[in-house]
Amino acid sequence: MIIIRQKKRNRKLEKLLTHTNEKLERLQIHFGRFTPKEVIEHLTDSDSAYQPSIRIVTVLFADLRGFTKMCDQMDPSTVVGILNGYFRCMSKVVSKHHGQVTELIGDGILTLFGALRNNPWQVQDAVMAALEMRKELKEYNIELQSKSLPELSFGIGIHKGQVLAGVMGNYELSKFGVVGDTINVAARVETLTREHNTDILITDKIMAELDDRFVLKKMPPVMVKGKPEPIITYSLEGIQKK
Amino acid sequence: MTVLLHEIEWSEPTLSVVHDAKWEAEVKADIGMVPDIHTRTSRSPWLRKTILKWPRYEAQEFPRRLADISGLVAAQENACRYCYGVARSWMHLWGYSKKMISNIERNAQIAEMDEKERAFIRFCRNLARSNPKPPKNDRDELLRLGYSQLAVTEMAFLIVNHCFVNRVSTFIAIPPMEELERLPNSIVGKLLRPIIGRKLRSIGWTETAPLEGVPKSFSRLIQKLIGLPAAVAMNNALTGAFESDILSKKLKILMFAVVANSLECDFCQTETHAMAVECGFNNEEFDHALSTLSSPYLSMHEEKLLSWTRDTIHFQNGPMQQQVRELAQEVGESMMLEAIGVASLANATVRLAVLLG
Repeated sequence: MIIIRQKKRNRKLEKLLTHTNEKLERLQIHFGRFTPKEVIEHLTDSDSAYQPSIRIVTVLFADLRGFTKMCDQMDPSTVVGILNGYFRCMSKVVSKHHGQVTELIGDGILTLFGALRNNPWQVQDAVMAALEMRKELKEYNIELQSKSLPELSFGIGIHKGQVLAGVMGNYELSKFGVVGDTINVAARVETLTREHNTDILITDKIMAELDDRFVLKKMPPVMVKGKPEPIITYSLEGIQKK
Repeated sequence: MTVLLHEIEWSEPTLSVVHDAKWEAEVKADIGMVPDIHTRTSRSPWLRKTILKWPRYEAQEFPRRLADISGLVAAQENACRYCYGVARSWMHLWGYSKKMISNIERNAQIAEMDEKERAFIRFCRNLARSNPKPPKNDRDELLRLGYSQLAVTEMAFLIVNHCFVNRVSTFIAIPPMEELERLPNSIVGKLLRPIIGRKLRSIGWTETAPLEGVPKSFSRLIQKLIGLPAAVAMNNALTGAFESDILSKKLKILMFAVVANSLECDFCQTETHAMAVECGFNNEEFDHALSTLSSPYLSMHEEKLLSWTRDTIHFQNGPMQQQVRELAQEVGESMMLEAIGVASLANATVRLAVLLG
């Protein structure tokens, strides 16, 4: 009698365990939409918390031009539809080139290369991603045009340097993120695209790591907020085929 | 994230079957049958031999039970649908209980195992995992628990050996052996399990030939395996891969260097640099090739294979199999198969060197 009862209890416990496992797996999938997969793996597979670390990364910051104005003039669901389509296209390109979209800030995309694992080709990856984002935006604009929707245009700034990467926040609300001056510089360089009338600008740190396949145009140095020295940037024109 | 058998994404094979009567007769004489994997790898003499022998490697220095577990854990960590199915069926047929297999798969209740077994499973998972790079402290833990240096070295070899086979099978998307997977639950399987289990054990392979002369590639790494059959096994695979003329030697060296750089393996970075210089690169040319993944020495197809090598370190099955399929159409199946073998061997070699180097 005791054995039968114990067996019943075991079966119940096994069912409960399977159910809990399934729930956990579903949670991991949903969680994956908010936090990079590598961070989730670390948090679920190890006993320790995600250790913050200083890393050398390449930052690509992309921002849509005139989108705020568009928001005021159009139906909100149409705006969200356009924006989601844009994010989908750009994220696909970023993943293909080994980058991680770390944050969506309004209509801006903050992408990191080399933040979660070692990537000796991070500069080349970021530049190649930017070139393909340009191409992808052209194609997305054709799609928008065919639906009589306004076309989009963006500016991209790319810079390389140190950041602090880690899970930040408090017990109730925290997220994986990066902080550091490198992010600010990439964002400032992006704003310079309007001034220089171009779409992709890279800093001299990025230029120094590129080979002669990349076609670049030097821009005049510009003083930016928070920097004692003027920033030298290069407009990324394209790539020469072998 | 560790996945279970039914959750693994798997596509149709990326490379076709190529029948070679002489080779198939050799395989049949050796293991009694010709599974699909041996016909899809038959174009490459060194690769087909390695694929025939490595999965049957018999560990000499540590318990067979752990060696059996390592095949299952590595296949699961690498999400290789083909190897996972085979390892799981073999374990059933060797007499391991369903409960034990399920506990290992779910990494649950392994607290019931002793400390040495738990440490081994942890070592196995971490070494097989694609990210982060293999931690040396897991190896030190095994030494602390009383395994000999030679046993830990052989454990590391066996795990990277599984990783090699997992990668080759995944990149080709070898069809799962459904008949074998059904066997443990069938009446025949249940009745004849001990006989089938013994038969499976009898196809185990160990290298008996001694290592002769100084190894031509990764000599210092192979020296670390001396005393184990693994030394000859590793040397034969590396020699075969580098002597094969389907891909240029320069490309193969660069493929190894790409993996070494990604996994930050100083040992292999030094080794590949020396090999590159010996092969005709000057320092500047090699550094340029490595940083841009292009070189005047490489054809356009070879540059594509070099870029693809990067993706063989961390990958997801679906996109990877699609990429292999598209690349194979571009460069041809022979070149693609050879690149699959070289990239998989590079991943195995560098992982081993990170631990032993």
